[in-house]
Amino acid sequence: MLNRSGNAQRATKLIIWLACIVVVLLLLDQQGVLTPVTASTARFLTPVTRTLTNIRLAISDTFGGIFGSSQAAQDLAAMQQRVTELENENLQLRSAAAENATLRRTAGMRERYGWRTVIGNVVSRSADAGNRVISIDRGTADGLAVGMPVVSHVNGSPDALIGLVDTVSQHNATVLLITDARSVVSGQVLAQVANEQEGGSISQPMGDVLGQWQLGSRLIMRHIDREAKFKVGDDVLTAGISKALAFDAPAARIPPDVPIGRVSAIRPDGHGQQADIEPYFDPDVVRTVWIIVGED
Amino acid sequence: MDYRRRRLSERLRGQLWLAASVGLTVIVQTTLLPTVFNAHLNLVLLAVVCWTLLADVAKGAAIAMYGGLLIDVVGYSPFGSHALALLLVAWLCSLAAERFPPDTWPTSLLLSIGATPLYHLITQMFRGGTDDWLSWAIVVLVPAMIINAIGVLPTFLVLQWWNERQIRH
Repeated sequence: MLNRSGNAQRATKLIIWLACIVVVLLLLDQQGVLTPVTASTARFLTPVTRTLTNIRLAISDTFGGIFGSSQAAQDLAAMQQRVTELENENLQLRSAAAENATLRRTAGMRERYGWRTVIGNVVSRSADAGNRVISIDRGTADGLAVGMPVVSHVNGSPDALIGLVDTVSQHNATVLLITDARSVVSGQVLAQVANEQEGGSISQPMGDVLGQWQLGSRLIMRHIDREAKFKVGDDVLTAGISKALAFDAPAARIPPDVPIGRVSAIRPDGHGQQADIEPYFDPDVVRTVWIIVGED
Repeated sequence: MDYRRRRLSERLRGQLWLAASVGLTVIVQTTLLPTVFNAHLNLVLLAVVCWTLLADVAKGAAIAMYGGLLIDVVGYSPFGSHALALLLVAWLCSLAAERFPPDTWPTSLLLSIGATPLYHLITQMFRGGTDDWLSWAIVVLVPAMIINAIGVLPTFLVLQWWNERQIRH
């Protein structure tokens, strides 16, 4: 034990020694030497962390519905389920209608929403609030790879993108939530534009959807064409540009037409426009996720 | 010789208990604690601050090592990044303990407010920083400082009571 009085030098020496050990660990981790150890430890802890995370989410669910009677809560849940189905159906139809206009001219129709998914559970979240990351209990053994999109839904929302697989080990993975400032996804607005000649059509202005949580917002869509016409309330889906261009990059795993959120504000941005996007739900509150591992 | 062996065994047992307690704290922090005003209580950071003030830097540094490494395992962050941040917090607290009365709650309150930006800055640097530090400070740092400042008082009082109980025994 160190004596506190006048032992600042010894304290500094101890901290320097331990910091040196930590730097060595960081270097070893960067080389991947420690990955088997950290991955096994995380896997060992998964059942405990998954259970405790479910308890936290169940408690927040209970407190959320504590003011409603049980019959009213059941009715609400049934209606929310119906709304989810209708939202999904509506988005699929509108997305198909929009793409029909362009795809019929180029490559013809393609099957919509033929995602192959793996179901996973949220195990834990990041230890500090400066990071929008969740851990899930699926890994390379289940077919996951970096860059794969992760979708989920809460009551009344469509199945929507919540993030991308950021790191992956054999049995676990982390998901960088789309609201994190490091997240960038190409997006398209499903805009219902009044057109006198055609009696209304759907245009698809594109842009980059960036996470903004650490900067005081949720999502922002930038680099939208200045001439593009869309309005508040329009739905935003993934554009799947990297996939379309057959890039060999993790972003190429994101298929087009995965719902992201709705436009909540539009403003000019240099030579283009930018839009605030409101996600359909807070990605922090999900407990079950579906990882899109491929398409049929 | 027998005395030495017994002492070594006692110290080893003490470290194992400490590691297990810190491990439990990390798991509670990453799973059970709710998010309030965009922040959640950083129990490990508060434990490092309080134990460095109440006991000594060796205990604070041990908590920083065990807690930081486990946070990195659970959160899949670079192994050692959180440990490094928490070690610097322990060092800051040991320097402050030389100049201010260490076993009083106002010191722990001031240090928790001062150590939170240090911790977040280091972990943010490992994530590649940000383009807009001012917004980051307003959205991430200020709520974290407020919630840690609220949480440090009960944490300090409980650990102070525990520390005095241990000394008496």
